[in-house]
Amino acid sequence: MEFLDNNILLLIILLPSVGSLFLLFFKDTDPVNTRTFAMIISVAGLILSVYLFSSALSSKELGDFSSSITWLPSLGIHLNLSISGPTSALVLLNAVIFFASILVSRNIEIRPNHFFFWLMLLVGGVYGVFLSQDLFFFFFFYELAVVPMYLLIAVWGSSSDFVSFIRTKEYGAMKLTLYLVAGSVLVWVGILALWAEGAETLGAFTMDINTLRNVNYDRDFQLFFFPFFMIGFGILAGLWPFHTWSPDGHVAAPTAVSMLHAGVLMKLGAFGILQIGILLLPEGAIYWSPLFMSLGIINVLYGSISALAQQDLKYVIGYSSVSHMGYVLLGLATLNSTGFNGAILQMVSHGIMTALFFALVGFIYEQTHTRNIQILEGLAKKMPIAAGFFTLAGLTSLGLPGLSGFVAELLIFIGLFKTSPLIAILAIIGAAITAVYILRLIAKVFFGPVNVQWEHLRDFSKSETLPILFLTLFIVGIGLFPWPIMNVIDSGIEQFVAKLSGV
Amino acid sequence: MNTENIILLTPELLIMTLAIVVFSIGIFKPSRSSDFLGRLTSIGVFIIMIYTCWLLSGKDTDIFGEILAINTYSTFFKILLMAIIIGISAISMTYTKLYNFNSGEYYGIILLSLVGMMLLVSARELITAYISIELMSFSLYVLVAFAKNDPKSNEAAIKYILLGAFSSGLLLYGIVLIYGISGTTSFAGIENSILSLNSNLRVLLALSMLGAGLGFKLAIVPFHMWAPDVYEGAPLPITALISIGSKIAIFALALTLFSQTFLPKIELWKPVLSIIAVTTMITGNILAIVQTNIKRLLAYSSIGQSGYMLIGIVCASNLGSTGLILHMTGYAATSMLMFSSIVIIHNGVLSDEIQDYAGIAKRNPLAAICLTAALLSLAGLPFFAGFTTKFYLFAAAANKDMLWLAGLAAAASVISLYYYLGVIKEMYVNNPQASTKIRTTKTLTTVIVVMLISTILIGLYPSPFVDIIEKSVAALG
Repeated sequence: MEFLDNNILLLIILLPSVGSLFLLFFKDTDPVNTRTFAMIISVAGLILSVYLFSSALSSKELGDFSSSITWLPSLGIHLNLSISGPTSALVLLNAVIFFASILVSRNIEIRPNHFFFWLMLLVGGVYGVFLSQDLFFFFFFYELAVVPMYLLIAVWGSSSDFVSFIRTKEYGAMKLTLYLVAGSVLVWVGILALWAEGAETLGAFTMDINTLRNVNYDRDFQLFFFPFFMIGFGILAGLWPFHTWSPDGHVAAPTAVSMLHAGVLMKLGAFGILQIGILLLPEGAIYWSPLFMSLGIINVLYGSISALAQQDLKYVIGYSSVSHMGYVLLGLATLNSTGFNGAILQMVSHGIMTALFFALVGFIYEQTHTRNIQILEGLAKKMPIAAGFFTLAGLTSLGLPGLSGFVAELLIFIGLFKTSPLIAILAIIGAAITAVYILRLIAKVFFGPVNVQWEHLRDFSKSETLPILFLTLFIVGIGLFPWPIMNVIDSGIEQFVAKLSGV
Repeated sequence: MNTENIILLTPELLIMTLAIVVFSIGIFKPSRSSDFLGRLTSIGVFIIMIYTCWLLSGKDTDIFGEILAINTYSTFFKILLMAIIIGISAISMTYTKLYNFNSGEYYGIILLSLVGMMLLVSARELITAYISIELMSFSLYVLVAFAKNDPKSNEAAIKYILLGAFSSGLLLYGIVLIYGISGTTSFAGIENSILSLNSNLRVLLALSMLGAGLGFKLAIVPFHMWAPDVYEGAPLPITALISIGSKIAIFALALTLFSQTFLPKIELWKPVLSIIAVTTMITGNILAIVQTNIKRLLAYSSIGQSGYMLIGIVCASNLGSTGLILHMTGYAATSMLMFSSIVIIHNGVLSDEIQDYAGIAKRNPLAAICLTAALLSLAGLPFFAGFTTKFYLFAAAANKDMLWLAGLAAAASVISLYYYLGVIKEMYVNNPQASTKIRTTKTLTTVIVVMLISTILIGLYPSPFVDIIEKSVAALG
C-alpha cells in the first residue's frame, strides 16, 4: 500500500499515456477490443482518482502522495508530482469525463485504435498538468494535451454545413491547434522568464514551483510577465477575445473529444492561471485583476449573447462554454478565497454539465444527421429520456438551486460582491441571459410541434443511458450535498490566498 | 610520435579504405547487386563506429602539431556523423535500385563526404577546416547530380557547384584576412592575437567573409537561395545527407570558432548573428507555407531549423553550446526518421508532391505515423526530441537575457506547425488515390523503428545524452 501511495500519482499519469502505445498494436478493424482496452484503462484511472479524492475527503495527509524523480539536473528539472484538495477534485473530474467519453464512443468506424490512442494521450496530458509541481513538466503535459487535438478533430470530426455558413472540420481543427499553440508560446516565454529570473535570485537552476514560490520577483517583472500567463493560459480557457477557436473546435470535434475538451481541457487554462500566474506572480495578478475581471465579464455576456443567435445546436453549447468559462475567470479575478473556491467548483460543475450536453447533442446528431435548430422540433415525443436529461443539464447551466451550477455560481457571485459589486450585478444578468437561450432552445428542439421527418427516431437504450446517468449523478450529488467537495477544494485554497495577502 | 598520431586518425583512414573497397567492387564486380554495396557500407561504417568509440573514448590530445583535435567534442560528432551515414546508406538501397544509380560510385562518394565531415569536426586550424569542407562539398556536388537523367538534378548540381565555389571563395578570403591579422591559422593562435587587437574593422571584415562563406554552406538567410532547388533536385537520401550531415558538421566548426576563437570579439558578431538567427527562422518558416513539394518544404523548414541552431551559438555559454549539440542530436534523429519515411512513401507513389501523399495512412500506416511523429518533433511538440531539445536551447537563451530571441523562435515554431499539419492532414484526412498498400523492405522498417525510438528516447529521457554532451562541451572550452 505504501508503494502504491508513493507512486500513485505517477501511475495515474502513465496508465493512459503509456497504455495508449499498446493500442497501436491492435488491429485497425477491431473496434470492440480497442474500446474495451480503453475502458479498462479509464476505469483504473477512475478507481485511483476516487481513492485520491476520498483520501482528501478523510483529511488524510496529501503530502504522502508526493513523489520526485530527477530528470534533467542541469536545468533543474525534476518530475515533482503532488496533489492538493483542488487538484484531487479536478483529477476526479478528468477521470469521470474520460470514462463517460469512452462509454459514448460506440461508433468509431475509422481506425478505432488510433482514435483511442490519441484520446488517451490527451487524457494522460491532462492528468499530468493537474499533478505536476515543476514548470517544465507542467508545460510538457500541457502541450501533450494539445497535440492530439488536430488529428482527433480532422479525422474523426464532422463539418458544419449551412447554406450561409460552412465550417469544415479541417478548419476547426487547424484553428484550434494554432490558437492553443500560440497561447502556449506565451506560456513558454513566461516559464523561461520565471526560471531565469529565479535562478538569478536563488543562484541555482530550478523549475520547481514550490521553490520558486519563495522567490520574491521584482514588481516590474511581475507586472510585465503576468499577462503572458493571463493571455497564454487564457486562450485555452476561452478568454475573450481569444475564444473564437473554442466554438469552432468543439463543434467540429467528435462527441467524445468535445466532452473532454470542453469538459477538462479548457480548465487547464484556468488552472494554469491560478497555479502559475497567481501563485508565482501575486503582485502582477493584483495589478492586472481589473482588466482580467473586465475580460471575464465580457466572456460571460458575449458568450451568452452569441449563444442566443446560433443556428447550430452544438454551437449553442460551444458558446455557452465560453460564457461559463467566463464565470471561472471571474472567480479567479476576484483574488479572494471565496472566488477561488467558486472557480474550482465551477470548473468541476461546468465540466460535467458540458460533457453531458455534448453527449446528448452527439446522440441526437447520430440519429438525425443535422444539428440545425430550425429543423429539429418536438423531439421530446420520440426521445423523452434525452429531453429529460437535456432539460436537467440546461437547468444546471442556468444555475437552478439543487444542481451543481448553483453552488459554484453562488460562490463566485459572493466573491465578486466582495471586490466589485458592479461586475457581480453584470454577472447575474449574464445568468439571466443564459436562462433565455437555454429555455428557448429546450422549448424549440424538444417541446415544439413534432416534425414528421423525425418519426423514425428512437430514444436512448439502457446501455446508452449509462454515461448520461453517470454524469447526472454528479450534477445532482454536488447540487444537493456540496459540502464534501467544497471542503476538499477549500483545504488547498489557502496557499494561493496567503501569498496574495502578503503583498 | 607519428605512429600515435596515425593511430588516432585510423577511423578516417578506415572509412577512406572502405570507400576505395566500395569503388573497386563497383568497378570490377559490377554484377554485385546494389544491396550488397549498401549493406557493406552501413555494416562497415557501423564496425568502424564501434572501433572509434573504443579507440577515442576519453582521449584528449592534439595531433599533427595542433592541426586536429582528438577530444570528447570531436569524437561525439564523429560518432554522430557515422550513425547518420549508416542510416543514409541504409535508406539508399531501394532508391539506388529504383533509379539505377551506379552503386559503387554512389556509396564510395558518400563515404568520402563522411571523411570530410569527420576531419572538419576535429579541425583546429583554418586551412584544414577549409580542405575538409571542400572534400565534403565536392562529394556532395557529385551526389546531387547523381540522377543523371533528371534535368532537375542536373540543374540543382550546377547551381550547387557555382554557389558552392563562390562561397568557398568567400571563406578562403576570410581565412586570408584572418591570417593577415594574426599571422597564424591555428584557432588557439588566432584567439590570442585578436585578444590584444585594438582595431575592430579588420576583424569585422574577416568575420563577415568567413561568416558568409559558412552561411552559404549552412543555407542561412540571406545565403539560402540555393537550398530549395538543390533539395528538390537531389536524390532523396542525398537531400537528407545535405540537410543533416553537412549541416551538423559545419555547425560543429562554427561552434568551435565562435564559442572559442572569436569569443574575445563577441560584441562584434553577437548582434549580427542574433538578427540573422531571427530572419532565418522567420523567413524559412514563412516561405515553407506555400510549398507544394515535400522536398522544397523541407528545404525551407531546414532553413528555419538553422535559425534555431544559431541561437545556441549566439548564447556563447556552456548551456547554449550544450543546448545546440543536444538540439542537433535530436534534429539528426528526427530528420532521419522523417527522410526514411519519405523514402518509403516515395517508393510507393514515385512522387514528392504533397498532394500525392493523400491517404498514406491507409496505404502504409507505419510510414504515416513515423512521418507524423517526425513533423511534430520538428515543430517542437512533446513526447518527441524536438520539444526537449528546443526547451533546452531556448532556456539557454533566456539564461543569457535573450528571452526575446527565445520568444521569436517559439513563435516561428507555431508557423512551422501550420505547414507540418498540412502534410499530416493530407496523409490522414484525405482519401488515397490508389488503394494498393505500399510495401517496404526490412531494412527501411528497421531504420524507421530505430529512429522513432531514438526520437522518443531523446524527448523523454535526455539526461544520458546531456551528460555526454556536457563533457564534450567541457572539452571544447
